[in-house]
Amino acid sequence: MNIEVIEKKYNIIAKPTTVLGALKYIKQNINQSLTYNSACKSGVCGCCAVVVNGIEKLACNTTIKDGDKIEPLANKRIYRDLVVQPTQKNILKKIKSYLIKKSDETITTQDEKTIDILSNCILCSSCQSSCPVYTINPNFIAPFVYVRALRYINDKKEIEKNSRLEAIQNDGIYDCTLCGNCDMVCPEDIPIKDSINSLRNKSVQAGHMPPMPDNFMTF
Amino acid sequence: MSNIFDTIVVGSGIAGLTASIKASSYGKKVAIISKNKTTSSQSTQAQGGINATTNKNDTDIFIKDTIKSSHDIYDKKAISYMCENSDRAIRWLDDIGVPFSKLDDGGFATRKLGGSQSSRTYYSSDYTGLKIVQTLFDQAIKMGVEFFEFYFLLDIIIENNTAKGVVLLDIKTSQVIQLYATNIVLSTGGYAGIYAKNTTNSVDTTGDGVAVALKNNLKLSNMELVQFHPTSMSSSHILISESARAQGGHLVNSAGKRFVDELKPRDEVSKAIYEQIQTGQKVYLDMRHIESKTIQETMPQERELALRFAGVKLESQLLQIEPSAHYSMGGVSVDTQGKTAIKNLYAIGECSDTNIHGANRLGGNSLLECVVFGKTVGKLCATNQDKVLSIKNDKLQHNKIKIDKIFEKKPTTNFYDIKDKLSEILNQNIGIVRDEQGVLKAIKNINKLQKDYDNTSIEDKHRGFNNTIVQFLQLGNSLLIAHKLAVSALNRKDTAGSHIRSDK
Repeated sequence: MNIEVIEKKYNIIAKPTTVLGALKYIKQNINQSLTYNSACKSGVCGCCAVVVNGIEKLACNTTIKDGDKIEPLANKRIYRDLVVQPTQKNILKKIKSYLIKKSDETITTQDEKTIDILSNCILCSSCQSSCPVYTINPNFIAPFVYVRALRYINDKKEIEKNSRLEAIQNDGIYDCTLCGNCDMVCPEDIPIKDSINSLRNKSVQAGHMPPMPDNFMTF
Repeated sequence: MSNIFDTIVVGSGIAGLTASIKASSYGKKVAIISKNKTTSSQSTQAQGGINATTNKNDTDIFIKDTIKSSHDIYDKKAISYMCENSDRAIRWLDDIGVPFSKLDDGGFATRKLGGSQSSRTYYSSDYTGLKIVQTLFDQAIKMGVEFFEFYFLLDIIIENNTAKGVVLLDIKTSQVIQLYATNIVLSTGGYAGIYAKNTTNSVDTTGDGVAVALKNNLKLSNMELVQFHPTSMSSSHILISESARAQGGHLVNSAGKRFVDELKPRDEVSKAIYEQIQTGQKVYLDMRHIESKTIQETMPQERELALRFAGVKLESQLLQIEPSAHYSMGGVSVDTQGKTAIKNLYAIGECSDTNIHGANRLGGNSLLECVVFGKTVGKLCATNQDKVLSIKNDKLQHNKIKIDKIFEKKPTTNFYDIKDKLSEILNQNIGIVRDEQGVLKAIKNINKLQKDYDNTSIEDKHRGFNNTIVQFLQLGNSLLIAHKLAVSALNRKDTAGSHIRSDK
């Protein structure tokens, strides 16, 4: 099997089944300097996201094929080869990605379902890598951040829901083109585009005005 | 960033994150160290749930269940402390936002895992570990905990029998640094990952904190007691949680016959599977009689893992399984408050031996131990009145020289081959079933591998971001632990739970 990792071609004589297996084979047998990250091998730690043939994938649960081309995530600071900087904590702090004040309301099965999939984000950064808005505007708030904001806004346990909305107005929800790239690459199948739409609705309901086009008033 | 803290927590799984949140809730300056991303710990892979009781009657039964499963290797005070604090642990997790699965009336959903007399395992579908870790991470951000990601523990600074700091390798720069603190908490995880070719564990679960404790002459206990989980997927060794059997899943052999009560404790189920495999049978998890909706709602992760990694639809097909090294009951010996023999040095979670799990941990008790002792130790750290003043030690220099030598030395052997051989030795000779001859052979071979390791080095000499040297250092730790595990296995002459001696 022949594959390409960051513009370097490798011939793999073993028969790995996954992209991670192929990277491990290269590191242990051909080029020890090849640097990648992994931990759980089962798709929950968010360490091994890479770009395979132009699409973000978790290396551990993606089948490797002859001719595959593997690159690091885009829109991220690269530490070395396929290893990128972990999630920045300041933006998560800014949007209050945590429970601020707990309510005493009863949480039922239905309530739990509203945040079930939203609370499965593994911070792999695949969505950020796939985002065309982030590519042209590095100040744009990355897609996973909205998921975390909505996870707490939708949580019936939370009293202080709307204080998160202010922080996602500028370089935020309205800059998103709703292209849906993030949805397609999310390994946890989180509906990110819908989350952003939902945050737009909640913002309007909370009194945040959507931005007007520059020439609107002169029309 | 200053290098002096009130508390340094090494390891960012559920135990470490809990301790860091608790300590910082008192306004203390806390650092949490991870050798990878903060949220990539072994805890993330926990699927089944976390045990707790809400009434006195069941607490007594919970204590009895835990004692029974330990095979007489236990400290009743520690077990009672954990079980009696279980309700508070769950409430605390619920209060900070962990989205536990609920019933229609708003009560907590629970499941009954193997060896438990009642249904007391709280869960978030089968993503329990992931959701707890992510929620704790969010809380740690809220509390202002300082995150050190990609830092590898090299040593603990100890003066006058008191812990005062840690020496770390900054993986991003290959530089050695030191940080000081009044309290040092080891929450570095277990060591079942050293069975590398047959383990459910992450590649990062290499027992680094346990090895560093050993190098500093701390007492390790029950190192031979490693739990083999009954149901890992054959070939990939990815975990299929006990929740599958809790939902009514059966274990069947090649003839389609059940051969064991699936809800017995893990050691007994693993032994029964092992015996089937020894007689040439294959063993399968059979969920075909369970309603499809139940599988999709209560075990979505397991369903997805089986589909992705084995191409098996749990609703309609059999999934081949086998036991794999899963959890280390042994570790750094601590008292009922997580204290080691060194002042201001604590150990919590899987790296510690609290004498609770003994020879066989009950499903759902590991996460509980992490939260209960994480909270206890976090509070102890925050209320400790000691202060780190001046420190004179040569550990920084000593470790700098050690790292320089690895970079300068030419490799004689591919160190990954040593890692593979170590795993083979452990799985062959100190696996589910052991005997004296096999363990003696293992010790001899581990000693040989140690020599090969001491003579070799890494080919990757890049002095920037370098995780090759981390893998090399992890192997050094694994070899130390493997030797200790083997000697302990030799010394425990009788069968006890997960330690099955075929010659006795």
